[in-house]
Amino acid sequence: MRSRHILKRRTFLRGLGGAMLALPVLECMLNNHGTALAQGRPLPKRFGVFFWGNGMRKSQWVPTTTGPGFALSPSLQPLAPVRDVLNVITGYEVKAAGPRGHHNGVSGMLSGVEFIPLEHPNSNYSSKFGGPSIDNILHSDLGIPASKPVLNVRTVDEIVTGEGPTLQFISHRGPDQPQTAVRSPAEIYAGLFGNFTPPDTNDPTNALRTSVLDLVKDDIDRLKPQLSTNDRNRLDAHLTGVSELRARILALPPELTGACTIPEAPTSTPATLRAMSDLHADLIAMAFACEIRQVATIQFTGSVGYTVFPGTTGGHHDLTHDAAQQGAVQASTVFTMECFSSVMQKMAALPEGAGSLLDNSLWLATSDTAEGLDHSVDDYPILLVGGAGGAMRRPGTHVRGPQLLKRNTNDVLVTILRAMGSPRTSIGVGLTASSTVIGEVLA
Amino acid sequence: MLAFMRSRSLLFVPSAVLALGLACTNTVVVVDDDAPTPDDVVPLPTDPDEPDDDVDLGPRPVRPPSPFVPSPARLRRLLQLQYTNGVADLLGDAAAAASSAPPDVPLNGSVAVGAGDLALDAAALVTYEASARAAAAAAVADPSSPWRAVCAPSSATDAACWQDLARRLGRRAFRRTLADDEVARYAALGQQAAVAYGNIGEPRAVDRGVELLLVALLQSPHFLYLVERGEPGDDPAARRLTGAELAARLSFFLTGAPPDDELLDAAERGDLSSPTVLSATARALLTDPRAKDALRGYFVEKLHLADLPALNRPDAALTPSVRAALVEETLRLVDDVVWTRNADVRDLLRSTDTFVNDELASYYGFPLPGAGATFVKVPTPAEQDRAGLLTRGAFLVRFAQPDRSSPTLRGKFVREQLLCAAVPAPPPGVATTLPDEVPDGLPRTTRDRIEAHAREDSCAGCHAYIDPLGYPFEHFDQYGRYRTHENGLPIDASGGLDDRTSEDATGFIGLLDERVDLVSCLVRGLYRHAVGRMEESGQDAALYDVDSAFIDGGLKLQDAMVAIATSDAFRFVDTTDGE
Repeated sequence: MRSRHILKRRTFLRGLGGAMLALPVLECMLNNHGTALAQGRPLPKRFGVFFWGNGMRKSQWVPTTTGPGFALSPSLQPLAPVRDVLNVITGYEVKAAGPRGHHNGVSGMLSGVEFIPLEHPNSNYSSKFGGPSIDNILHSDLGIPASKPVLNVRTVDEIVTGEGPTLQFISHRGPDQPQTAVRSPAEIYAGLFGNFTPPDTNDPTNALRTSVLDLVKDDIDRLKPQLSTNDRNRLDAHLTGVSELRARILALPPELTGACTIPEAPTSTPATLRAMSDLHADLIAMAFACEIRQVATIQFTGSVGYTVFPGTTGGHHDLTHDAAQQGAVQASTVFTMECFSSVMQKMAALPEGAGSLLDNSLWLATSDTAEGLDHSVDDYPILLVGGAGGAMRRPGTHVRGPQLLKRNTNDVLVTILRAMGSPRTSIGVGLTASSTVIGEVLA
Repeated sequence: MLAFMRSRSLLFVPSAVLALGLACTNTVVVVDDDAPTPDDVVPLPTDPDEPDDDVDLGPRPVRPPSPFVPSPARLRRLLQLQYTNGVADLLGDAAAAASSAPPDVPLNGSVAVGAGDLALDAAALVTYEASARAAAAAAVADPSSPWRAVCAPSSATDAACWQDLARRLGRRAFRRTLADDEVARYAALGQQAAVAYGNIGEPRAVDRGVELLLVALLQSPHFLYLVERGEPGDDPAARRLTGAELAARLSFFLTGAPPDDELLDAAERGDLSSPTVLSATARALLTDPRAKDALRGYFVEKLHLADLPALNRPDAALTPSVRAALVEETLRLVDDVVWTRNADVRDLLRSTDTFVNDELASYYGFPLPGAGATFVKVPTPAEQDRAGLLTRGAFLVRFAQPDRSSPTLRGKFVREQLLCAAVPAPPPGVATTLPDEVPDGLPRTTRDRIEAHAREDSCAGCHAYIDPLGYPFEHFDQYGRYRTHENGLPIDASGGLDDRTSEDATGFIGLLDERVDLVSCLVRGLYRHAVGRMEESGQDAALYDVDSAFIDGGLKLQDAMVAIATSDAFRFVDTTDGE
């Protein structure tokens, strides 16, 4: 009996999917993208994090003027093509910072709380994030469906794995739940679009896949009561992943309206950092435009990363700590901003509604330290790019906090929550919590 | 000695043979299923040049008085190697080749600890599902896949066979006997799939049903995690692992693979509760060929050798095949010391012989052995001052910067990874700048630059703790090649360990290999790997006893592994909800 039910459901889904691709007339029967827009459904706001490791040079980063007409600094010149939606925030400090360079910046900036040190008298140091990162906070606050989990992408190969999840990952659902970022373009493509090319029969396979996941859920539900609180929490995370996978297996194909098209599958892995970044950006932009994903993170380079940038010979982390190499450090920052600008321009190139995908997106670009040379976390590098569906003021501006009594980078996270439409009004805990928005960047 | 390397089925040890005198820890029992005889008691291979009692480690600290508390019970996901071996044992090599496991994530320098602490992330579950489907499809397409030896259902309604599949494959997958209702659920899933595929006229509907049953087994939490709850009746704060749990912990630790049917049979009968049987079983598992691969995997992790292929070292001579050869050289040293010679483990640090092929010999500037691509054991040239794995290219390249050597990274490795001492972070807000390479146009060595930097007050303490442990390797550049000069200046390789000084690498290794903390650190690293937890004070005394057994036996690593496996710190778990 059960298998017949499965078959019928699958037949229904397949017929629907096939018909949508083949017979446009069926589109009007669905509450699809185009008609929903006509009925006034707001376009979804997308959110992204672009992260690079080892900071920048303050002297080259901070624009010399403030306000909407600010002059781009040398490091920010590559962002000129998107400056209408570029907000630069300087003079803010990571207040939720523990006592360990790099760990304190990446975790405090992205989660708003201090990292958890994993010290051991007989072993090397590791740490975990103290709470979920902003991408996962927003994913949860906005009620984004399980079939559209955060898309985590990693551009470089060189990631430090010896000091725990804080340095290894930028997306965290909680202290014990770091989220792997995928680098292989083919793997990213398969995760986004691979499920939408089903075989051309009434194949029960996908329905049976979900039956397996139901059995896995049964096993976990039976196992949980025997375990410690900590293990039960880990199994809850496992169950969340299972339900996301289930939802993705059953998800309908995207509606090929607006800018959404199913891209060609990548056939090779680009050899250069720039080409890899651009290919990832194409996939993310289409995942956003097709509403397969709504939140993404890009780990462009790693915290304490040893990437060797074009035109330099040393590992990036050690260059940043070498006073004689600050010219090379600056070149790496400019290169990073060129790649970030290219990602933003790809978002801007896709039309959506009356504007572009970037107009309906907000990107946070930041790092794990301010000046790499000395591990400082004051005067942090923070860019907010995109229109956030009209929530951000245009043109973009440069906000510089006071040099005495520096402001809290958690203000930036609160501002992001506000711009994205989250009901949450504060972030962080205790003395480093914030409920202050940066009004100058909001419409 | 090849008689040792027999199949896994030899590890079942009948009590009749145990009576022959297993008290001697230097023996292993090799038992043929049909005809065990006293002749099968074979001494473990030992290095004839190396007497057992030459261990001089100076005075040991006293045994810690702290009362025994076992490690907390925690779910541990299978590591990549364990997962792959699990698929191979269950479904065959073709299925294992089609499978893929998500990456291992280390905590405190151990992927086993990460596996026991972190939750599976969303991407990992996607990988596991894809892997389960690929492996199951390969298994039903493979006429020699082990599942076929259980039974092949004649139809979707062949209930007896479906249940046999679920019961027997499930037992191998979950490493324990399944409850009846578990068997029923998994069998029903396979049958439902066979019906569903039959309904669309799929000619291989029954195979597709088996395939789905396998997909389900491979995604079950009972396959993906080691579930270790202990015997229900025991004190929750110190529960003995059940026989099946102990068998799985033992087998994964020593061979990186799940227990086979015979070991599970013995374990579920309760045989492993006898210390003699447990010890003999551990010894027998060490004769499994996969024990060697598992230990290689451990050293790959400890030495970060997996980083080597992608490491940025801008030198055309460091080709992918040279990088692979460098890794192989170090792992062959491990094979030689631990398995071929079963020698004092400190030979890993002091061996002047190494393993090279022609390409690697040429890279190092050694005389060509003339063996082509084959690795052969050769003495290292005496003038290059090479002693053990800290002077082999794999370590030297990995622990360096792209453009220079790094005494700090190398010294930190010795301090942290070999002596288990915690090294503090650089103080926040301090410029960790190395002074310019050419001030006033004068050349300087890497050592000069680090020493200049370390003169700053805030840096001096830590650098004095680390750098003298790395300077001894300054004759080796970031490519692992020997050098007498850097920037035209002679190399100064003097260093030291705490209050003792050394002149060169060999001299430094001579200081290191007399340290008792070298031994206890090695044991603790293996213990973390074995149980997936950082050791705590409650296990101090038990691990001290492991150290003692290790030292008393002449520091043979196999002894350390057996001593860990038979320790209370390995056999018990704390199931109280303390966290």
